[in-house]
Amino acid sequence: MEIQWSLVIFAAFICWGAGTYVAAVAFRGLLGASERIMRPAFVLSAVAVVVGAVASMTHLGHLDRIFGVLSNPASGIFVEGLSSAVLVVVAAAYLVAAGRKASSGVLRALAVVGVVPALVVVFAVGSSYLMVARPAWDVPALPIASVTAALSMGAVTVLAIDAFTARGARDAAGEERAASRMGVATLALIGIQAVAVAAYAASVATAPYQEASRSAARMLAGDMAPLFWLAVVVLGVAVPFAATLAQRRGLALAASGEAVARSRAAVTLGVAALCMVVAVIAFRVIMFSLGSSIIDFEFTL
Amino acid sequence: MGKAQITRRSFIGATAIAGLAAAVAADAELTGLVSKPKEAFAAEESETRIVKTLCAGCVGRCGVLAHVQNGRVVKLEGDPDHVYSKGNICAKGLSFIQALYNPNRIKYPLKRVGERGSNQWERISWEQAIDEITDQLLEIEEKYGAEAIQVGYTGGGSTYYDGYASRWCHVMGCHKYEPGGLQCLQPRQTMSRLMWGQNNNDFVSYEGLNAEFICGDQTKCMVLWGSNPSSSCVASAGRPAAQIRAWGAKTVVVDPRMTADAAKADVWLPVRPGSDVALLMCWINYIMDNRLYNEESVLRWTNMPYLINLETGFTLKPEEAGFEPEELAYVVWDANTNAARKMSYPYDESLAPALEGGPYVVNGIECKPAFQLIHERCSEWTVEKAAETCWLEPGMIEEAIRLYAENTPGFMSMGMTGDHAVNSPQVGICQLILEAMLGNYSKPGTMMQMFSADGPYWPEPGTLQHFMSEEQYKKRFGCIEYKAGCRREWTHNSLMLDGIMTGEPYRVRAVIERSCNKMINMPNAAKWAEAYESMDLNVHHFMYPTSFSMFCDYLLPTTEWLENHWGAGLENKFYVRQPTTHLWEAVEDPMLFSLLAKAMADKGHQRFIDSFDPEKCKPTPENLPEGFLIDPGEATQIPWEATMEDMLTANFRSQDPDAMSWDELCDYVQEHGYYQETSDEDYQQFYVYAQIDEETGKPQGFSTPSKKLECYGEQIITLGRTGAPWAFYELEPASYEYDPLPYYREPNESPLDEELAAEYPLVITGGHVSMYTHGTLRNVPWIRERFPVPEVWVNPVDAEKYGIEHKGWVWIESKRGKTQARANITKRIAPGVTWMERFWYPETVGTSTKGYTESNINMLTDDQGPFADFIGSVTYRGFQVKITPADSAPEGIWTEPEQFEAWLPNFDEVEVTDDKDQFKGVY
Amino acid sequence: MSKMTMVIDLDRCIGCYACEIACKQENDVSLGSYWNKVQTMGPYGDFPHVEMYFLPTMCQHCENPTCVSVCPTGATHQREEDGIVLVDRDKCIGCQYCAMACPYGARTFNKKQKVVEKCTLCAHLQSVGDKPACVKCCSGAARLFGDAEDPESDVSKALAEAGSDAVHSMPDVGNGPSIRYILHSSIATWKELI
Repeated sequence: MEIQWSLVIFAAFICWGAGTYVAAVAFRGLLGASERIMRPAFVLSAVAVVVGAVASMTHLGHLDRIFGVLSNPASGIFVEGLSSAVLVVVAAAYLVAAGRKASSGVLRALAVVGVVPALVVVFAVGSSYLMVARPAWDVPALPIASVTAALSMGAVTVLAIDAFTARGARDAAGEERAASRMGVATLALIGIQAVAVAAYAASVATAPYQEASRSAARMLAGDMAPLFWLAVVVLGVAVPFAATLAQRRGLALAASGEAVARSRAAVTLGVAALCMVVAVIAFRVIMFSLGSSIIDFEFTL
Repeated sequence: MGKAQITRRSFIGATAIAGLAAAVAADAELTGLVSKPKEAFAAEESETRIVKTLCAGCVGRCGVLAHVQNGRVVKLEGDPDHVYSKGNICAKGLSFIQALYNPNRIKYPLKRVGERGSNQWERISWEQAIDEITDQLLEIEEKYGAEAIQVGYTGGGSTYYDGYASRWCHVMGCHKYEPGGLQCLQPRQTMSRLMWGQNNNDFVSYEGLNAEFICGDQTKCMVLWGSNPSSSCVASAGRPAAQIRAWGAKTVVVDPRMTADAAKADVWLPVRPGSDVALLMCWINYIMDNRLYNEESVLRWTNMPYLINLETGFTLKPEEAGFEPEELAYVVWDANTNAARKMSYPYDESLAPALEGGPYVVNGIECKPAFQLIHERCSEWTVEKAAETCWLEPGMIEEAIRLYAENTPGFMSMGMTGDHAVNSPQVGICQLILEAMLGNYSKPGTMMQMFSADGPYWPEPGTLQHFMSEEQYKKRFGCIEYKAGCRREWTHNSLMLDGIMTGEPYRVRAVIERSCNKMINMPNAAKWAEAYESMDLNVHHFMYPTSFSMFCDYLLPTTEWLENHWGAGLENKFYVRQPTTHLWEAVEDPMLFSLLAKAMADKGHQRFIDSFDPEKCKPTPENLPEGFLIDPGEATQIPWEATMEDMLTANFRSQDPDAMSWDELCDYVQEHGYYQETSDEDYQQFYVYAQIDEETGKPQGFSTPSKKLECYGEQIITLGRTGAPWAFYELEPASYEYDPLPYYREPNESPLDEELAAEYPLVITGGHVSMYTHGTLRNVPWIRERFPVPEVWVNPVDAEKYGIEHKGWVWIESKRGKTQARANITKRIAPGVTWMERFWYPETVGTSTKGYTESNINMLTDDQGPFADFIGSVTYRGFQVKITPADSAPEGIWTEPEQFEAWLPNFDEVEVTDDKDQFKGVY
Repeated sequence: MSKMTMVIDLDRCIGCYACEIACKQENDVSLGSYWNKVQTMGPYGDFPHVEMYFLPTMCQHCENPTCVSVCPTGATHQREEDGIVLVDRDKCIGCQYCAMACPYGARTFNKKQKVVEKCTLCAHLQSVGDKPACVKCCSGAARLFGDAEDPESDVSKALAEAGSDAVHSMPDVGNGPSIRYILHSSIATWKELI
């Protein structure tokens, strides 16, 4: 079908925002990342989700009737709208609470609460497209790839934030250990994302009602192939993987006293995060392009 | 055919139907479903008037219910009361709502201000337009003679009621020309008239077919030969064809294209374009060889047993054979006595006429039975030879013939295909022989019928043939060589074109044109462009500007059919086309000629002054010129009138002084559905030819001199020698003898010509699609968005050979020129053959192409002969082209739906007016 | 309970496109959009022994419409009394999920009104006892309209008469399309669209 740009932007920014949120909370809570990453991460997260939400509204013909969605809580739009709204509210609450010097317990609780809508919304921007009408969409790999994309790009983003804000670090050695752990986790998440992309390709190849417009061949070797290989694979997997490896090398160099290396790594990671946003956009473009219905009566000329 | 008398006294038979609008309640749930603005529903609730009228989108005249709200037509539907269309309606008919309100219409009389072709105009009044045009016509008559004026008519987008135009020409002493006529329907019909005394019936020649009247449920086989009812006349012809098929008739379709009907046929014969007559002769030969014919029909009801005098070519008369002269008696060779015998009408049971053999010598005269002559002529066309010539499989030919011959009653319906080529009259001749041999006439289940009623009749306003002098009459191009054209008095277009280009025998200087777009209807359009450039005066009376308009000095607005007054007798019922509205300053086409006549008379033109004098119009012996041969009939009594209503009322009252007025008739039809005098039972009569004529006590037979079906068309010979029965005056013989026996000529350009085929390897043919008729509807958004550009069909084999891509633009090129279309790679056409739709682009008429060169098959056709014998048809189909890929689409054409929004109605600019206001200052 | 639906007799469809235009006129469908469309199927086979038929396509008024479940506002709904699937344009927010959820692409987005539209089986005409515009105009009498649950309806009788071998439908992915097509092999062999 036609590429729905509003929905493409929506998905990319939701994944970026929610992924960053989850990665920040996870890295802070599980891998000992510094508190200083939280505020920039949550600001970015909230802004990205809002940008995504605004984009999605431009898709709607009648925003004036939006409250009509309350009548069907099971619909994808309802779930996406509600969870992204909750996520933004929680992130905002966290930022306000942090600004007012709330206790770390309160902050941690707030942060953890937000993980639920964040995961729900990234899953939902995939699962909303599970429609039997469109074989290239109706595969579990689609919502999974949505979640893995969000997490991997979130992780790279948080790494970048960590690198950008590292200058003021008090416990440099401890932070470098945390950064190293985060780097390993990020590499793992990128690896999982690569597997998820491969799984999606495999799902498309084995979906029922095969047809040229939605074939794996079109994605891997046809008109969508440049986008797939250059954007989804190179920008979405290879570049961030390399950037994360560079972060690790930067950490090693920094340990030997080369402060410049750390900031260069920050730029590299930032660029990698943006590449991953582009990769998600590209993935969605491919998804819409392959999203032909089982039969198309061509009622739009 | 009898005439209708639309009398007040006999209000019988018609079904009362009050066509009430389905007014949709302004129910919230329902109004939420339709795209219409809510106000529309409110208006619908307030008042919808339903006007019963008749479409004029093609030659069919289907019934239409026009929904009119507050003076605006909002919806069209089929009229269930209609005898052919029965409530159905096609895409074309429905689309006329967008044609009516099209912003592209010519709204006011326009006079050219820039150079010709610059598309710059100034608005003038009708009074000024008529005044200036008549001044120029008078000047042209003065300088060059009236023959230098031509009136162009029909060919799509016209109303087909040319009575006033003919009347005007008769008075003026000039002639009419049209792109159709000599190569559209008339070739078959003139032969049919000469051979069985009436028009051949077929699906699309006139308005359609009522499958129930002909008892189509008893039709066992239907042959559609170059006839495409599902596209050409969808509701009035495609509908009954589908019905007859559903009742179980076997079908054979002979057509180079796999049409909708071909797709459903038991046998489809994709005949090579232009070779149809070879195949028809093969059918005749096979049926004769295998004695598959109906012997009773051949012996008793055709002239095939009659002996033909081989010296004269005519039937041997009893007196020539030494018998007593006797009316309707002919001579046969009696096999019982092995001698010539006189055969009295209708048949002599004691004789056993020989169909074959000869020559028999009778009274020293060598003779053969007509059957034998026809058989001899066809005998070379074996199945094998026909298969080779027509590019068909022999087995399929044989299967098709057997389906047709072994499943009677049935019928063979011809279409335009045969008319558009050099063998055009022979198509009609062969068809009649075949149908007659099988006895497919005046029986339940056949198409050739002899139904007759006190209605119908066609309200043809008064012609004034006897105003046409012998001198002017004989100046009609083609008058001598192609005498079948005398029937409808058509000019031979190509000879006229030669006249314009060479001055021999004379140049035409002025054209008053009422058809759509001559530039896509005339063969070799580029040459016609030169001809039109050379004219002193070109006037176009049409609904919207076309390519032809760009050659004109005056554009005059005319009405769409939804604004028209007319009527039509269809079977035993009479219907009206009543106006639903009137827009801008449009004038209905008959009224243009009435206005011109009035102005000419006012300016002192004597024949026009006379034409307003009822006494001089009467065809009394003293009013008829010397040597005038035909009976002008009562049509002359319908005078020039100042309004359509008066003209139609005068028309009805010329037949019956007590007839209803036009307005009364409309009210009557509105209430009763139609007007009818003869009941269906009285109308639907079979075996009419066998009914006993009370006066003679013998069967009434057919309307031919022999009262038999004249499969040996001896009237054709007479036509060639004198012009009888149609010429106004006796004409000198043509330069060749008209041959009544079928014969086949290879098309002028043939793939069998190896040298030509090396350069131009593909045979091209043309023909309708269901969304367009002739040149019309190219400016209607609903139609153009779906079919924005013309297709050319190419078989996958040829596509591969010539590098053509599906939906890719291509060049098609002939010896005359080249043009573009979009390829449809399809097995609906044979390898070596291609078909192209004709097209023009209203959006580019103001450019240097004038909209006609880009995608016009008539950039490829040839205006030159050889023409068909007897009638002079040019070749529109079956000539040689080559096809190559094109880099891009023609410049400036529209293909996207949103581009056509420019032609959607803009009701802020629509002016609803009174049609009478346009005549002020003239009448 | 009744199930109003359509049976299209492809033996009789002559591919004239009148139904497309009748629908446009009746429902004011905008340029560039269709609620029904006639497709040409074929020709299949080797020339000249080829088969072809016309296939009018439209909303299939499914038994379990996939478009209804995804609609966030209930604008797309299946009418209880007769099972036809409708869009209430006053509730539609134009999210087009229904269009994505249709296995056939039978819905179209009205760019001016910003709502999704599709065939309503001319519900507004039914309400005054009239038939859908495409049924009324059809010169081939190919389109029949009626209650599939009523054995005496035009549609049920046509299906019974055609025999099950000649009755076809769009592929069913659990949505249960209700439109039935009649095509006898004597005219052409039915081709699945996928």
